[in-house]
Amino acid sequence: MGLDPQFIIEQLLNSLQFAMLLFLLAIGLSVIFGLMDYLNLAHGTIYMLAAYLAYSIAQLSGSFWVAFFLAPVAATAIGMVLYLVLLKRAEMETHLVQVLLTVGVIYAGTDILRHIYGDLPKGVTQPEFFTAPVQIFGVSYPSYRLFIIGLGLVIQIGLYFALERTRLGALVRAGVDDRQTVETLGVNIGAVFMLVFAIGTYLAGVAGVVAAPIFGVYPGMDATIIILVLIVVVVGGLGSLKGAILGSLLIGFADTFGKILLPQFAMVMIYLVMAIVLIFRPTGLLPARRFTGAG
Amino acid sequence: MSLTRNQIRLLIGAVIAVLSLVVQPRMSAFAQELFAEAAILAIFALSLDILARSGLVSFGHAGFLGLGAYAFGGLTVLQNWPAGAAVFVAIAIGIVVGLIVGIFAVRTSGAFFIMVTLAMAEMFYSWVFRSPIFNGADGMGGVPRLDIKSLTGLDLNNPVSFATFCIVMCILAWIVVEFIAITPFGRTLDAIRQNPNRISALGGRVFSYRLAAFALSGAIGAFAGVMKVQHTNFLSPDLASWIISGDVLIIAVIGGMGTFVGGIIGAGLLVYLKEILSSNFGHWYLFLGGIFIFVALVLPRGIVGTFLDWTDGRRASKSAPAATESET
Repeated sequence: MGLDPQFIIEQLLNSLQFAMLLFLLAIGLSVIFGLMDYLNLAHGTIYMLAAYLAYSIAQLSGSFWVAFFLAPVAATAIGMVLYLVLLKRAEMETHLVQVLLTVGVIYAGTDILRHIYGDLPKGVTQPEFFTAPVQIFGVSYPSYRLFIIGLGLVIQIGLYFALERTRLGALVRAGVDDRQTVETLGVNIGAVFMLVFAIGTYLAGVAGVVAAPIFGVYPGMDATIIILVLIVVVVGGLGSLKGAILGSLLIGFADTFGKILLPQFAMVMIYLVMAIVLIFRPTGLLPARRFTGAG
Repeated sequence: MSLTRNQIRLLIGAVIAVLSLVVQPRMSAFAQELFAEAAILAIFALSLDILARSGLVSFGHAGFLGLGAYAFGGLTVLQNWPAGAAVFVAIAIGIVVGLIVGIFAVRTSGAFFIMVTLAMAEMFYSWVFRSPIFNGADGMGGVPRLDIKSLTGLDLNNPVSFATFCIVMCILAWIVVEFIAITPFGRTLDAIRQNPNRISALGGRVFSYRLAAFALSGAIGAFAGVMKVQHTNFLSPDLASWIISGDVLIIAVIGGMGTFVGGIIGAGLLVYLKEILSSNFGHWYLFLGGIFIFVALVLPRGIVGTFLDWTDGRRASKSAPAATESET
C-alpha cells in the first residue's frame, strides 16, 4: 500500500465526500430526535426510497437532474404521509416502541421496494456534466464526488443560516433545549416539528439520490448506512448542527482511513472512535444544551 | 380472583412451561426444531430483560450471544475441550467481557447506551468476520452438543431430546431471573430503573448495580449463545450481527419489556411467525413489518404488559376507589 501524498489527498477527498452523505442523513435524524425525542430508524428507508425513485425517474426522463430535483420531493411527500398516518401515533411512546414501529416500516418498505424492483442492484448513471475527472491539489479526482462535497457544504451553510438567523431556526433551537417552555409561550411546536421532519426527510432523500450513482441502488442499502448515521449522531451529540457536521467528518474519515490502514478491521476503526468519544464525552462532542447532562 | 400482577405473570410462565413440556414431544420433527429455536431465543430475551430491569436497553446483545457461541465452539472444536467444561468457561467469558465493556458502557444510558452496546457488538462481529482462527465469514462447522446421556439418559443428538433440553434450560433461566428479581439486588435494579437519580441521592451505587446487571446479562446471553451453537452445530459471524440484536429487542418489546415471561412469548411468536410467513408468502418481511407496526401502535406495552395493565384496571375498578399501586 502506497501512502504517497497524492493517494492521501485522494482519500481525504473520499472521506469528505462520504462525510457529506452521512451528514445529509444525520442532521435530520439528530434534530428529529432532539426536538421530539423521536428515534426514527425509518429515516434510512427514505434514503433508499429516494434512490429507487431516482432510478425510475432517471430511466423515464433520461436525465439525472430531473431525478435529482424530483426524487427527494416525491420521497418527502411519501415520508410525510408515513409520518402523519403511522409514525405520529408513537410520538408519546418510549424509544423502544418507536424502534419497533420504525423497524416494522423498514421491513415492510424494503419488501415493497424489493417486490417492485427485484433483488438485483440497480445502477444510476452519473450526470454527463460530471463524468470527466478534474485536477485538484495535483490529483485527478472524479468531479461527481467533488459535486457531492460542494453540495454538502452549500447545505451545511444554508442550514447554519436557517438555524441561527431565522425565526424558525430560533424556534427549533429553543424547542430542542426546552420544548415545554416554547409550547407555553404559545408556539405550535407540532407545526414546527412537521416542518423539521419534512426538511430532514428531504435531505435524506437528497442523500439517497446523490449516493445512487456511487453505491448503486439495492434492497438493504438503508440498513448499511443507518447504523453509521446513528453513530455519527451519537459521536457528534444530539440535536445540534455542529455536532452532526463534526460527527459525520470524524466517522467519514474513520471509515475511509480504517479501510486503508487496517483492512482486516475496517469497521473496528469507526467503533473505536465512537468508544473513545463516549468514554470522555458520554453525550457526544457537541450536543444541544439539553443533552449535555447525564444520558 | 385477586391475584397480584406478579402472581399472574408467574402463572402465565408456569402454564407455558408445562404446556411446552407436554406438547413438544408429541410434535413433528420439524416442530421440535422450532421449539428448540424458540426456547434458545427465549433464554436470550431473558438476558436482555434482566438488564432492562436496571433501565438499560442494549442494542448489541448479539455480542454476548456470539461471544458465548464462539467461546464454546472454539474450545470444543479447536482445542478439543470437553463440552461440559466449555459451557462454564463460555459463561465465565460472558461475565468477564460484560464487566470490562460495562465499565464504560453503563456510564451512559438511554439512546447512548443503545449505541455503545451496538458498537461493542459490531466490533466483535467485524473481528470474527475477518478472523482466520474461526475461519472468518465462512464460519466453522462440527460444534458438538453436550453429552449428558450418562447423567440424564437424554441423547442430545436426538432432536426430541435436544428440544426438551432447551425447554428445560429456558425454564431454569426463567426461574433464575425471577429469583434474582425478588432478591434485594433485583429490587434495587428495579428502583434504579424507576428513578436512577433518586437512588443515587439515597446513596445507592447505581453504577455498580448496573455493572453487575450487565455482567449477569452477559453470562445469560453467553449461555444462550452456547445453546444456539449446539443447536445449529455451526459457528457463524452472523450470530453476532446487529440483526440478531434487533430481533431479540423486538422479541422483548412484543412480549412486554420487563415482564420476563413476555420475552418467552415473544420468542415463540417470532419463531412461529417467521416460519408460517416465510413458507406461505414470498414477501414475508412485509407481513412481519406489518405485525411490528401493529404491536407498536395497538399494544405498546407488549402482549404480556398490556394484558397485565388490563388486569390491573379490572382489579382497580372492582376494589374500593383507593389507589392501587402496580408492583412492577
